[in-house]
Amino acid sequence: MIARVIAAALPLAMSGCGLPADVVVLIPDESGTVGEVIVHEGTSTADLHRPLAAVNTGSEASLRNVFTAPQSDVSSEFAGALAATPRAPLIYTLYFETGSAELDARSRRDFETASATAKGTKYADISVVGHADATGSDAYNLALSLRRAEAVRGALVAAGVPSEIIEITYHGSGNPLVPTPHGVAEPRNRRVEVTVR
Amino acid sequence: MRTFWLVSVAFACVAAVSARAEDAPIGFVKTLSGTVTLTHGDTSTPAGLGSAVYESDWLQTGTDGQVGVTFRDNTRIALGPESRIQLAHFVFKPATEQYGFLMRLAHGTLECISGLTTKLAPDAMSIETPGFTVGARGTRFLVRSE
Repeated sequence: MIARVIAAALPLAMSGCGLPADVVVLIPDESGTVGEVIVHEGTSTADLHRPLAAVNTGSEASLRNVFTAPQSDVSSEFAGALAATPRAPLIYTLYFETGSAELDARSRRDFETASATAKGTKYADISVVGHADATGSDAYNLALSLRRAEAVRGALVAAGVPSEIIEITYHGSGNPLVPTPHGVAEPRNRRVEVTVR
Repeated sequence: MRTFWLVSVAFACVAAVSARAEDAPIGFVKTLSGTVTLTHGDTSTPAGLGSAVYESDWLQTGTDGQVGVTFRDNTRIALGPESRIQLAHFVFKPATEQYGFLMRLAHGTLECISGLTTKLAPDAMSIETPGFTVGARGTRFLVRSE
């Protein structure tokens, strides 16, 4: 217990108070997920993978001491950046009938939500990405995924979303949501992803 | 012969510059307050909400400034006051599986929430500072360099 208190106090003692001047802190994202960052300095490396894991990057030697940053220090010393976090991009996945650029029935409602969000977001930029499943030739699927993306862009523009904020791309049957052998019909791969940033 | 080389190099530079000028934006400013300057090539202008940012651009905040950017791969960054960063390198081409994302934080505070780049290519994103480098596997982290 005493050792833990000393270990926790050590970085504070080194910098006077609060977090070190040069520091990296790993924090949970909005969904609570904690990722991983690797900090390199000279020949030293620190691996941060726990919530609030932090390292003083002031010297190669200080990199060896990974500590837990107090939440209150993180909130106050990074207040400016944390207040400016853009909201998470919103992603809508729309599905299509086989071989068609017609939305399936349940995706029409999702399209309405996507288009309302796109119109309601100030300074939005939108990407529309078309995909096809693995039935048919590559050339056919590429063309089909483009037709799907264009159909969604057309519908967004018709609903009042400015065309200049929409970027479209298409992947054919590459980059499937559900990988399948060639020739297999997979409804979940016949899709267009609309991302509203 | 030497003249030929000089001319070739000059042409290559012109070609590189014009290709860069035609490049698409890599992200857009989504949040902003106080003084924020965007430097594109030799031109510095006040950044505004909705400003497009391009590969190699610099963003700088004043003592009262903060700014947030969302990139085409859904990565988000936010800068606190008195910070300066270069959006040095950005390649996001899922169709051909080409990824790369490098930012250089000269000084100040940075929040980063990584998007599709670290999901699709866990070693493709890093942040350099004058003293150290952060390899970002994902997703949310803070960096201060003074």
